[in-house]
Amino acid sequence: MPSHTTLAIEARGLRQAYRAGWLWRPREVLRGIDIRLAPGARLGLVGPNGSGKSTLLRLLAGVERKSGGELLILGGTHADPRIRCRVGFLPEDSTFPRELRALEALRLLAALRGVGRSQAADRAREVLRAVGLEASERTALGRFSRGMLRRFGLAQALVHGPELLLLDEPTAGLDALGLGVFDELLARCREQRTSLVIASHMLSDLTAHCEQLIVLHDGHAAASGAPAQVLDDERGLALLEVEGLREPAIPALERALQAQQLRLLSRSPAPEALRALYRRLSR
Amino acid sequence: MSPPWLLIAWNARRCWPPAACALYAAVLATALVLPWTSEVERSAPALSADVEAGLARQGIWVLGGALVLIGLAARSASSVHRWRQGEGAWLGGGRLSRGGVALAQSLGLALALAMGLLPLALVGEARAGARSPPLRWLADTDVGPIVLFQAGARSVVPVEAPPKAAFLEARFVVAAPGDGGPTAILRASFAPEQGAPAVREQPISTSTRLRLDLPEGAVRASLSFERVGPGAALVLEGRRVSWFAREGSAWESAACLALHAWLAGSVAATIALAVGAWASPGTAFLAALAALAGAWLAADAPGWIPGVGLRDALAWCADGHGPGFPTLGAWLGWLGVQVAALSAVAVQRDLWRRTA
Repeated sequence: MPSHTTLAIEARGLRQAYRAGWLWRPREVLRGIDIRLAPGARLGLVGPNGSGKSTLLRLLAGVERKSGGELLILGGTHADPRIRCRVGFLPEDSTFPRELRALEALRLLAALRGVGRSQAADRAREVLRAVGLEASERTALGRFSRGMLRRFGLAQALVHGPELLLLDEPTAGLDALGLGVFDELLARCREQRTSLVIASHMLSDLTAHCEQLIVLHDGHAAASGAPAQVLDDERGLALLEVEGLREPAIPALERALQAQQLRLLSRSPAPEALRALYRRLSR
Repeated sequence: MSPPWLLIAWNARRCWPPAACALYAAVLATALVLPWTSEVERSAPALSADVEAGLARQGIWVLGGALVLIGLAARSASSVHRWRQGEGAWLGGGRLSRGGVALAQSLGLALALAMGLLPLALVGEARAGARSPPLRWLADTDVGPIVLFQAGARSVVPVEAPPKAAFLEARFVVAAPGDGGPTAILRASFAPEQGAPAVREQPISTSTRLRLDLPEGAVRASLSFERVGPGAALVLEGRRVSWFAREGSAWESAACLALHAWLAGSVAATIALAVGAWASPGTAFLAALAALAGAWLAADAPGWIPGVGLRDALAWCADGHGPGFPTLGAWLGWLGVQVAALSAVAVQRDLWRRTA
C-alpha cells in the first residue's frame, strides 16, 4: 500500500529517444529529466516548441514507454493498470471517438479507466456539467467545435477522479467562458489535493496554477523553481490585474508609476471582461 | 457493458459509417436484380435450376464478399495509424493492456464483418430463390496422384467415406492425347467391404466431373479408377475425391458461406492490423490483399489455410451444390493466424507513440 508520503511523480534521469530513418538512428527527445512532485503539488512545464514538453507528459501518462531512467507514478509503474487508472491525461490534440455522442464517449472512457458501470453514467454527466457541456451530451463529438472538444478533453481527463492530472496545452482553443471553466476546475482540483502537471505556452496558466516550474530546452531541464524565480526578467516586466481602472484614473496611475521610475507599456481588458460579456449575451 | 465490450462495440460501429451503409445497400440492391448467368448458359439445356441458383449465390457472394472483406481490411490496416494519430492517448492510458486493446480491435472488426455478411446472406438466398441445393459437400479425401496413361491403366486406393456420404465426385482432366484421340472412357468403381460395388463409366474430355452414387451404409471401401480402351491420358485433378450428402439446405448453404467468408475476412483484417503495427497503412492493406489473393489463387492449398475454404465453397455453389461448414482444420488455422498476428501487435512497443 502506498503511504501518504508517496510522491505523485518520482522521475530520475528520464530519457526518451525515437529511432527513425533508413539507418534507424536514435534521436534523443528527452535527455535525463528529474522530477519530484509531492501529492497535491502543481508543476508547470514551459519551453519552446520541440523542447520535449508533450513527450514528457506522454511518458508520465504511460502513453509512451521511456527509453531510459526511472519513473514511479503514485508509487508504482505504468505496467500496473491500477496506476494508469489513477492518472488523468489531456493530450495536446487528441482524437476522441467522433462517432459517439459526448455522454456515450465519456462512459466508454470512464469504463476504460476502471469506473464501474453503475457509476460511469453519473460521473460522465457530472463532469460534462462541470465543463459546461451538459446541453451537448447527446451531440456526436464529430459535430463539436475545437473549443468544445477541448472542454470534452478536460472532462475525459477528470471523469475517473484521477489523483494525478496531466494537462498538455489545456487552454489552447478555449474561449473566455472555457477559460473560466478551466480555472474553476483547477480550483476544485486544488481543493481535492489532486497533483497537477501543466505544459503550456500561456504564462498565465502556469503562474496562476503552479507552484513549481521546469523550463525545458532541447530535452534538458534548463531551469526549475518557483515561477517568480524562474521567470524573473532583467527588465522587471510584469502583468498586473487592476480592478476599477477607468479613464480618469489612468493618467494618475501613469504618473504614480513614473514617480517610481516605472513605465506602463500596454493596457488591455482582462479576460474576465470578455467572460462577463459572453455571460450577458447568453442570458 | 464492461470496457472491452464497449470498445468492441465502438470498433464495430465505426466500421459502418452512414455513407458506407448506403453504398453497401445500393450494391446489394443492384446484386439482387443483376443476371448471374450469361445468355449462353441460360440457353444451354444442361443448366439446371440448381446450378442457376448456385451461380446467383456465387456471384452475389463474390461481389458483396469482396466489398466487405476488402473494405474492412483497409479499415483494419489504418487502425494503428489512427492510434498514433491521437486515439492512443486515451486508449493507452486505461486499464487495458496493448494486447487487450488489439484484441478488442480485432473482435470489433470481426463483429463488423458479421454485420456486413448477414445482409449478404439474406440477399444471396433471396436471389437464389431460397432453392435448396440437392447435394451438400461433406469432405475431401486426398487419394494421391492418379495418372491413367495407357489403355487398361488402373489405380486402386482404399478410402473411408464419411458418415452420411451418398455421392462421390472426382474431376479428371485430359493431360495428353495419349494413345488414341482427345477423349477417353473412365470407369470408376467403389467396392465396399460388404455389399455390391457401385460402378460407373463416363467419357472424359478436357475437364469432366465423374459422379458416383454410393451404396447405402458403406464406409470403408476400395476405390478404383480405370481407363477403358484407347484414348487420352487422364489425371485426377487436385489429387482428391469429394464426398456429398443428399440433404442440402438453402439456409445451411448461406450459413456455410457466411462462416467461410467470416473466417477469411477476420484473418485478412487481423493480418492488416498486425502489419499496420510495424509498417505503413498502405503496406498493411497490401499484405491483407496478398493474403486473400494467395488463398484464392493457390492451387491445391491445404484447407486449414484461411480463405481456401471460401474459394472451395463458392466453387461448390457454382456447381449447384451446397458448401460444407468449415472444418476443424480451418478453425485451427484461423486461430493460429489470430494468435500470431495479435502477438505481433502486442509486442510493438510504440503502438501509441504520436506520429505527425
